[in-house]
Amino acid sequence: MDNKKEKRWIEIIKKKKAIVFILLSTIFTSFGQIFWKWGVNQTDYFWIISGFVFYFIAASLMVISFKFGELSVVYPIIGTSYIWVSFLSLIFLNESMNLLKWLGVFFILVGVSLVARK
Amino acid sequence: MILTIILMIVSTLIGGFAALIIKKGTLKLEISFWETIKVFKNHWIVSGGILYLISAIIYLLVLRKEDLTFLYPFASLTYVWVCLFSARFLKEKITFIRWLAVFLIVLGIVLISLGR
Repeated sequence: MDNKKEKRWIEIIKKKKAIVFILLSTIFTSFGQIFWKWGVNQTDYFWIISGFVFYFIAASLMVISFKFGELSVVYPIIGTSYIWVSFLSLIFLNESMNLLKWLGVFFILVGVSLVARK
Repeated sequence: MILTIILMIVSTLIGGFAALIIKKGTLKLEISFWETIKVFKNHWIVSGGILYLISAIIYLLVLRKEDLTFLYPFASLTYVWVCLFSARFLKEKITFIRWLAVFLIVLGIVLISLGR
């Protein structure tokens, strides 16, 4: 009995670790996109390179999260990057969103979540 | 806009292919410090890295002219290509759910293009 409970607890902790790592990864990806846009707007190589650095960090965090969790758990969280990028663009890039764009983001999020399922 | 879409299709195709060959390169790797150094000697991983860089540069060139909220969602096409590549080259089956996912991603991209 105790053995089963312990195994389940270990699985839950692994899942939580996977989610934490992929969440961090997604945040780095999203900010990396903002940096890239800043960088290409003014051809500012500091921000372009910073974007690549953040992307590299995001990729590393993602690889770690795959060690802990299944794709079907990780991909939906990767999908939320489309939401973060939309909000960050509103704040930092002065871009605008509309209903069609938000609908599109929603469908992409659902699609990305489903694409990893068997 | 047509040019933008074509360039994003090209960029995501290259990126998706890069992911595939990087995956092929990691299949034989173990996670240990010495294996990590060997990453740079792994032809598949290095090639994948270069392809990824090319896809990123195309993306950046297009990003100069377009809004991020319009362009970034196109990146999700990468998942569509990986899906199709896996079916073709890795003999993975595309289930109904995967087709549904592909449809939703494309639908999302169409909506965002309409909302531009």
